[in-house]
Amino acid sequence: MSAKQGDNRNKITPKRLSLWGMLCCLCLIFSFLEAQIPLDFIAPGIKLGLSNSVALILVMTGDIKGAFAVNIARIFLSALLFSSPFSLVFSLSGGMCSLVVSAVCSRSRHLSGVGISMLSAFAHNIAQTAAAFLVLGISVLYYLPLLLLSAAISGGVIGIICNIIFEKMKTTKEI
Amino acid sequence: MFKKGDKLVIIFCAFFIVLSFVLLFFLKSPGKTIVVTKDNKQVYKGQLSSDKKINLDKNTVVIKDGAVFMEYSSCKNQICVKHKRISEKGESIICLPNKVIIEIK
Repeated sequence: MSAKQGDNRNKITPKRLSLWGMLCCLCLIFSFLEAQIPLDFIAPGIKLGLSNSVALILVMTGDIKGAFAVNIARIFLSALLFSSPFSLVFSLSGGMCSLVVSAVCSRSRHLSGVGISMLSAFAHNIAQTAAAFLVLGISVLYYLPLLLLSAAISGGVIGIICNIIFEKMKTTKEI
Repeated sequence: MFKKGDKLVIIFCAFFIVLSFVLLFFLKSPGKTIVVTKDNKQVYKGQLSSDKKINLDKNTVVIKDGAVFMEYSSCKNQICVKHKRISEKGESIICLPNKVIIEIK
């Protein structure tokens, strides 16, 4: 996406707002699906992060504002729907950190979705572990290597998915 | 699609993961103490290496082969009994109904 197109995107039109709403809904569906697949037996907090792909696509198309809006709404809603509000602290810190990283990385011409996704997944898990460290103490640090490994794998998978979607989106004009 | 920077990211990530696993391996210290608390009072403190059976009136804690587990509990939910054996620093088994906490420090 060129810079000019990015400028045009700064206005919040009703169309854009409704797109964000729909994407947020999609995120919640992904969160629901994820809640059905418990991966917690490996280490607590391991997730596929399907809903992150939505934010990643938004970032890749240059809509960083939208990515933040959708992600914040998604985090609050999914925390209320699927997990305890206590876990909000973890998902909020992780989500925000990963979004900032992916927004910065998307500026780079040398990174595709895979790179952005892996780096933001890393940031997500490091931020989450830091938050857990502040709340629960040093013992959570032992999970960090496992979490990082899972972040690399799931981040890579999500990145590949996003790359494919992004390529398909290039051929369609309206997004 | 797949760009040059992605390769670097993958290498960086792989390096970081290996590093964290190595660090974790060195951080783990074998000398572990077990602390059992009941009603916020410490009732037992000992080494993980020595096998022992600790009888509290409503619970039985067993230390065996370098791992601790709750053998018996009078509580209703039996979560502590079903909990896996713990052997790593920082792990704990908590029986909430009987207010018994087993910690490895």
